[in-house]
Amino acid sequence: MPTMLQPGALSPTWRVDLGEFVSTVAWSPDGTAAAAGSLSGAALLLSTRDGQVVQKLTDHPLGVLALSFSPASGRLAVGGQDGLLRIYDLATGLDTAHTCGAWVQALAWAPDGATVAAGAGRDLVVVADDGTERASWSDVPSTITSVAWATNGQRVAAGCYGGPRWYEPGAPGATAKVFDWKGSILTLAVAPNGKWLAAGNQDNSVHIWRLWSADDLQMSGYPAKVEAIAWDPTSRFLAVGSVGDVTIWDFSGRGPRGSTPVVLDGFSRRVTVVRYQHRGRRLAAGSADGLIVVWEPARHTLPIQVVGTDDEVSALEWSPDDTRLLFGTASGDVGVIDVPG
Amino acid sequence: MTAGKVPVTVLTGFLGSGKTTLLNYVLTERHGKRIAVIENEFGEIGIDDALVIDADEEIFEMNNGCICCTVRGDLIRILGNLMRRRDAFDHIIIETTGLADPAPVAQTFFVDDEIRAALALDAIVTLVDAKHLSQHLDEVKPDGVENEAVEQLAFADRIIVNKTDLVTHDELEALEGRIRNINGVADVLRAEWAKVDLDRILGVGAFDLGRALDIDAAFLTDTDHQHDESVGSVGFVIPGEIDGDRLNDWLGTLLRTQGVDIFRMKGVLAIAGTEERYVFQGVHMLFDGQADRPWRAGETRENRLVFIGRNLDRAELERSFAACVAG
Repeated sequence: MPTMLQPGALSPTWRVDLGEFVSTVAWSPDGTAAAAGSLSGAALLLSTRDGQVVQKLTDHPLGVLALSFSPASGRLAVGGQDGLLRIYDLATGLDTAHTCGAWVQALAWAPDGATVAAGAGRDLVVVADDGTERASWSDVPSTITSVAWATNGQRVAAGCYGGPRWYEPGAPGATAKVFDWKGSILTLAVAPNGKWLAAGNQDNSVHIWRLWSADDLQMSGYPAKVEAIAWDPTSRFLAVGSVGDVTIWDFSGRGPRGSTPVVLDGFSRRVTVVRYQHRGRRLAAGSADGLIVVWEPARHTLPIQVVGTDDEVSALEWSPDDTRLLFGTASGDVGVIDVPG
Repeated sequence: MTAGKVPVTVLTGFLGSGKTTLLNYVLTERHGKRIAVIENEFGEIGIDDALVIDADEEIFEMNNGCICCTVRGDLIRILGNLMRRRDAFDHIIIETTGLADPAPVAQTFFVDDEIRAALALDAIVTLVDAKHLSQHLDEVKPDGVENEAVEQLAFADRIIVNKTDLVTHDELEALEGRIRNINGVADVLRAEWAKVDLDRILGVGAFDLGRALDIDAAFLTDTDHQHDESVGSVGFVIPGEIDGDRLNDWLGTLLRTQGVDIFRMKGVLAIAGTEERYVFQGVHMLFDGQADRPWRAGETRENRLVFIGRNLDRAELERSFAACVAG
């Protein structure tokens, strides 16, 4: 039996109650603002200094499913179960609404921040920051659960049942490049170096494709479906959150095939989210048993910080300067904690 | 165990069988309860007073493409978001399309851990139209395609024969005989305007291993029934205690070779060397079993099993199971 993690008290810089399951949180690129959305449909823009509400965003009836700040253009995209994609101009607070017709489950801004890709039902759309549609595809065979861009911004992937499909917004008529695979993808992550695509799956596995040869490998036998995966900034490590632990696969040298992963354990339940720092070596995880844990896995498998919230951690993101964590919980709390240096 | 879990009723039946009427009746009678309805039928009338979510049937194969391990991807997403809400529901009803195969819906509750942890599949309720059921059952399908009406009856825990006012007493009796030939285990209820005793279809715990599996004794001993359908049900009682290893081998072989054809199975077993009854159930190749209450003093240690499926060979099932008796 692994030693269970013993949490210290959570002492957030600030805390805001959304009253319902926090489905998604995000930092603005300059770190001054945070956005949070809940399954009640409420979405807030908050000051990260004190948690004051900067703007109450428009409700998405039945729930907010995804939100994401543009890395460059001062925009925030919010998608919901009402089938709407709203793009806010943070300078004016005004938004444009794009009707997608089905749950907007996944959002990802292109690396240049000029367009955002949204998965809505079986449609993939690419919308410019002024709300105009640039491209759309309707040949995805099943509901899109995740969206990811190639690092050069030339292709965007839709994750769905049947394998990821890559589309070229610059050539909307071109045939999709399909990584054919029989399985249901829940989440996608492109390695920062642009060489790998990782998918967490319903069938308790992680599937990896080498871009663009489409050589693939699979880590199977996880105890539950895999919804939490993250690459470190060097693209050497892939962290996978599962029931009871986080496993870290090493992609250096000959890659992870046949290797044994590093295991960070001590959770009593499912690890719901894993996030590496943007530039540093630290890894943060949130869990269904309410823990927020930070490690520096390359040095030690013992954590640097363990704090306990009063409910499942449902969302977790590093600040752009990698010093703070923004979290959301299943009971509706949103807050920021400092991570010791 | 279903303590603290939100019950989920699966409502199947052909277009025109009265599913929407039944839903509206449930919502009226259970006024004040928070009920979420996941709807799958286009073109039926709307429902008031409930959270209604549209689903778009997406069937995913699990386990490297084994056809008996299919789940409903759309339901995993919809139920996932519903159960995450703190503002919880008292009951969830999933209405399937008229032509839906109930297996992937039921299997979703076996396969997805998050759903298993928060929700309890309560029962599969199949609604049929007394006037048109025979016609649907007689419809000849191409090879390899199951007749959906037969399938929906075979999977059911409760069968509501609706619109009984449109047929004669004799026609109704004949129809019920035919239903029981396919599914000898389900409770069969009669209704006009879909009005049934809701306590007999909601909160019944038909998939709950913790509740006694009430297998009708008359059905278990009825061996001389004439089966003219390829889908039918088989039940038997075998006295004695079962050897655990032999049982494992038997089950493994059975599911591997006949899992596709076994729609539902249930059982209460006496396993040698254990004080508790062992209860199990399965949908195709997915199997769920656990130790139940201890055998009572004076209670006969015996094994009761029920199968519903296609081309079931009673004699062979009974013989191969009997070979698992210890000693």
